[in-house]
Amino acid sequence: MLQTNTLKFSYQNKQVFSFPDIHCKSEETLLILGNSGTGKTTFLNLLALLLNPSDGVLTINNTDTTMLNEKSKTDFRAKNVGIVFQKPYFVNALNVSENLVLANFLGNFPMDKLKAEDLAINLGFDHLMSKKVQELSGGEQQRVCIARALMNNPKVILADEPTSALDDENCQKVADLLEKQSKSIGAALIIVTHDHRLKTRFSNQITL
Amino acid sequence: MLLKIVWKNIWAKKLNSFLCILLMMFGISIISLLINIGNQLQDKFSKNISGIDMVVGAKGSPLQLILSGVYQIDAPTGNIPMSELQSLQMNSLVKQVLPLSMGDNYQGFRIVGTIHPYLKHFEADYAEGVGFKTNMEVVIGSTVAKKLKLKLNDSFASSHGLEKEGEAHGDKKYKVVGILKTNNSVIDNLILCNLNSIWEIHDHENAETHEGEVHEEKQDITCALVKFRSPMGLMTIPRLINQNTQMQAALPAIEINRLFELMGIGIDAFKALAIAIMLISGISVFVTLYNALKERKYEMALMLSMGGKRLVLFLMLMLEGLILSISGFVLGIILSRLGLWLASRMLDQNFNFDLQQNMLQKEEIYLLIAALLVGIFAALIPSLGIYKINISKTLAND
Repeated sequence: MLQTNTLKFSYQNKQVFSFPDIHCKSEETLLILGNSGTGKTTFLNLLALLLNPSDGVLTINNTDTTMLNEKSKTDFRAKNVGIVFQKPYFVNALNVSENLVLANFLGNFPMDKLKAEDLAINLGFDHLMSKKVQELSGGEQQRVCIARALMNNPKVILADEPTSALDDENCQKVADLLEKQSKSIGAALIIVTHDHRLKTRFSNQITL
Repeated sequence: MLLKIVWKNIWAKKLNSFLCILLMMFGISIISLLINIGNQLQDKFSKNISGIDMVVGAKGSPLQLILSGVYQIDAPTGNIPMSELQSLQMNSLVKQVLPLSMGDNYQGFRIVGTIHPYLKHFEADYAEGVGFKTNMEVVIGSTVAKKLKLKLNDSFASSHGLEKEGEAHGDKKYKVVGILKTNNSVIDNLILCNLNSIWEIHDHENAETHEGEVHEEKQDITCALVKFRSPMGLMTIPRLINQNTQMQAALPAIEINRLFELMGIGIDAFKALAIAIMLISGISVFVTLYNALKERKYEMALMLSMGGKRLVLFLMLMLEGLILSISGFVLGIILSRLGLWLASRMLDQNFNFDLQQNMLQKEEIYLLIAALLVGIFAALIPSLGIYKINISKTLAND
């Protein structure tokens, strides 16, 4: 589903990152480990098409994404990639339910309230749907973010340090949910993390 | 969905939004009120002036002469003998002379002695009854009839002076023989009779107080409205009168221009103030949106990462600014209509002068455009910030 080939990235200051080739099939989970400064987030941004590689090929869902222009890249990302950011970002003026269907709206899909309800029940925050996002706890916010990444049934789910701010119990819960939900929609799951608690949880891993 | 976000964002910043709308509202309402009152004053003033080229009366302030003679709002300058008008009437450049004699009132409405052509000059129509023929018969304007609930054949005693609280002329009573249709001119507020009625009442007074003295027949009038046959009259006659007689001649067109120029300074000052308020409103929209964008940089980056187009988000922010300024405009117009209503009630009580509630004036459309421009410019710079957001950097750094 997702595959890279000699992906390279260089910042303005000529610091060049070369990334190992990775490859992740549908319903599979890949853990990308690395300490700070090894370019974990850069790698994730490349995979999420938020940055453009200086060299190499990134194929998602049989499409060579390096050939896409900016506009089609945005559309492609909205359709194929769900991102769980390290920090739970939301549109603060909207409530939980509205933040979920916002993903549909921005990705040019019909707004699917039923799907949002389903995900909320599966992830256990259906009682919070009409609350403001700021009123939720960190763990709850993280679950809403996961639900949002699933709203458009993407082919790949990218999670950036999804557990770093959570305690052990919530960490296991979130990891379980991510894996289960990705499998249920047949998406490849890629987690970028330095969280050692996850190392034992997923066997398929690569270190930067 | 987009509108919902815009609306919720405005609602989330209630106080800021309220301030923007409030400032815009006051700016708009002050300007709109000035425009409306100014236009209507000018309208009424020029309607009453039309056709009258010159006013002659006792020496004094020319503006006062015009205000009292044409508009019936100021005190008269004094009296002039009727005989002085004779030579004026003979002049071949003069088309018509309309003598007016005032000095009494009934319940605050002026009683004016005149001749029938005065009514004809305003193209007055009778709603009921006929014109005055003999002494002590009066024709009343529509406002007078409405306010004082006077009907045909009612009679009343006048009181001396132009204010309500005058010494009453109790023994002689006027009788209503005609009621005029609404004319939208000064005669709506007048009680009209022939010149003799006025003279009779005051001669009688004189006779009473100065009993035994030899009574001298003296026919005074207050002023006269003059129409010329040609513009030549305008060039020569006023100067002749001012130099050679005890009377003064005043030209309504010039005096009213002077009056509006004097008022204009005040109106301009108010307008400048209102424009300043509107600009402050613009700045407040700017600051609100600018801060909002700073705070919402992450939101914007998030929406961009989820497939939002920059143009759409740009329009979303612009819309926020526009909604604030448009609602300020609408509320401002409503407030100005309310103010107009209040002003109208006040003027009506004090001057028997009312203002119309108008639909949008032409100037108010310009005002709407100005409000939109303020909104657009205030929102433009913050909104353009959307194009500078670097998604990956914004979301990665904290």
